[in-house]
Amino acid sequence: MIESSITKKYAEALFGMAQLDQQVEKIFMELLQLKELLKIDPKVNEFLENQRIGEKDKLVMLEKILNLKFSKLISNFLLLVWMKNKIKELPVIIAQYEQLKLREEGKIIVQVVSVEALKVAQKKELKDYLNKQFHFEAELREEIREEILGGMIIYIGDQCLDGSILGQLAKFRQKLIAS
Amino acid sequence: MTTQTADEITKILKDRIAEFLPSARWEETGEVLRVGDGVATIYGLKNAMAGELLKFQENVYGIALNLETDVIGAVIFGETQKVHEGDTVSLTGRISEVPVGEALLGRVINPLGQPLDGKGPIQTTKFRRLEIRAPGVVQRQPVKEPLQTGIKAIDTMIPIGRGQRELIIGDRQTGKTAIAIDAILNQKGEDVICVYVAIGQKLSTVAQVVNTLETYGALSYTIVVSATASDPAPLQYIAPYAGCSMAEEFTYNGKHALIVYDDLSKHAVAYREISLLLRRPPGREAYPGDVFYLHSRLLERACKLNESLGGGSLTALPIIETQAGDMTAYIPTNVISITDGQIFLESNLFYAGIRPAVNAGISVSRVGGNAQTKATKKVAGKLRLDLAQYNELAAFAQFGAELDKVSMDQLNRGARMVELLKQPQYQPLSMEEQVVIIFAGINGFLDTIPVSKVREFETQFLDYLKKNSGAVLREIHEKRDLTDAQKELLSKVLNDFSNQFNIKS
Repeated sequence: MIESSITKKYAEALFGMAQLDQQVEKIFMELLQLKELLKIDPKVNEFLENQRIGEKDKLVMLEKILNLKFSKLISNFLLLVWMKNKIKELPVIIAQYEQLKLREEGKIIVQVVSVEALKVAQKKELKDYLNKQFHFEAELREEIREEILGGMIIYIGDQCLDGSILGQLAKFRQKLIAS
Repeated sequence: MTTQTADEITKILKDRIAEFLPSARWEETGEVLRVGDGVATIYGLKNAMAGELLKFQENVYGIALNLETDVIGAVIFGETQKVHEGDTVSLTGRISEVPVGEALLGRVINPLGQPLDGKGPIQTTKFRRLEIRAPGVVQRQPVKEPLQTGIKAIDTMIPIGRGQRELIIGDRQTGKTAIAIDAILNQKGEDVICVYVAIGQKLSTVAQVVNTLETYGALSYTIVVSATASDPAPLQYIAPYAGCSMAEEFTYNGKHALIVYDDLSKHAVAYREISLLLRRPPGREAYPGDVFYLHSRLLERACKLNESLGGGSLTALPIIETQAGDMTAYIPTNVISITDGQIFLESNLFYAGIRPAVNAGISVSRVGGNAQTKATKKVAGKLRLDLAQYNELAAFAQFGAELDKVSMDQLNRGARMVELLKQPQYQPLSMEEQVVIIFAGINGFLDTIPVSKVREFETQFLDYLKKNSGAVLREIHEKRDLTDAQKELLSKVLNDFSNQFNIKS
């Protein structure tokens, strides 16, 4: 997922407003709903991208729909995103909002890639290790990728620890062909 | 080429397998967004340094050049085909370096320090950064020793000092590379390390140069850095910096080094290609705005270090190719203004048989004069004057005007001087030989000899002098001066020889 500094500004603004209203969690839930909505219902996207419907009409429609289902803050935010033509970046903004929320709670997202799902004990061990090393609570996001053959790859933001068999094999190969 | 038997190869592989330890460490990674034409756009790597070495998959490396808000623009060395969209890129924490040291002498390498000559791996543990700041005012001292090129026209009229930057400029096929090669050949036994950087040349030309250096025994003290026209632009871009770092290793160890950049016009073209692909805005002739800085920071690294740093020097001979004699194009004017003088080569002189085709009138050396030996200085002043007067009169004489005797004499003298300054390739002359020959010219010993016989006179006279009065040559060589007593002796020998020569012919 490609985060840009512009989407980050949007996420920060929304998070700041949510904090003021002390509604961080509620807003997050609504954002997740919104994400699902955009994902599940292709009609919404179709409507948004339809060239034959005028921008003004879309705005009015959007306003009506949003007011039905969402809080004032979210609907205002969405209208802003819509007007700034950033609606396609919405999933990124939501993800960044989540990061901000977790950071506020002292947690950091750690992405773990492994061949099969981690056992509870393994997860705990990994969390303890990360806590000892970096002093934060890890929010694990698991991903199953069979082609890494074994071991795991851990991502924290841009930082990466490649302990997979695939990665080791690549290193081994380089070592053998090095002149 | 070193050959290894199958058993040896098996042993090496076994050792490597035994040595291998699985390991993992934290790396900062990014993702390739776009790739093509030797340039990649990478997302992530927020902590990348400008000019940092980046590691792509499959052992391909690159340099971070553009650090933008969300992405990085990087150039890729080696095979761009191995880099794909979505690949992981990691930071190495190192600013790009090249291997340096004695092990490079006599080798032909690419700008990354990898051998191209099949003489086996380069055994060195020393590395230097590709780009370093040029030494400052305190670290330097004025240029004071001469760097003899062995070419009469240059050593007498456009002298080059150790630590100087002298541009060689001219159209194609005017003998620019020939002058640089002659200068390298003449460093034999002078304890000067030479680096020849070929940028954007034909492979055949580079092979020819290497062959020449080998034939004349100059390869043992020379490093050839080759980024040919078939190499990607990023390699051509770093080639002069790599060569410069390799030469600096010797300079900072108190030695003298000479580096030839052949040629910087193609270097600018390679840099323009990279810049445009990185979407930097084009300026004049579509070169980017920092093309001046590109060359100035490179040439500023040529220097004469002060004694506390070992007193080493790095002399640079950049070469620029002009199009149809147009010196006012962007790159030639830039490099002319950076260097401490230039040697202009002209194609009409070249075709008139005046080789080296140096135009003495507009060629200058701004600091080399201080480095000239006293002996050369004593003969060079008159030579310049004679030639200048000749050129002025020659234009006049073309109208077929009747000339007085003084003018006729000047014309005669000039024609002989021009003839005297001709010199075949690969035949450098020592300082003392040059001095005695010019001495003969400016003192009128050639005036009675037909112009066509001047070169014959020159070679025979040098032989005669070595046989009969070799002591004079040795004395000039040791004292680096031409005393009145020596002048008298030389005149006497010249008189004797002229008489003999005239009778023979």
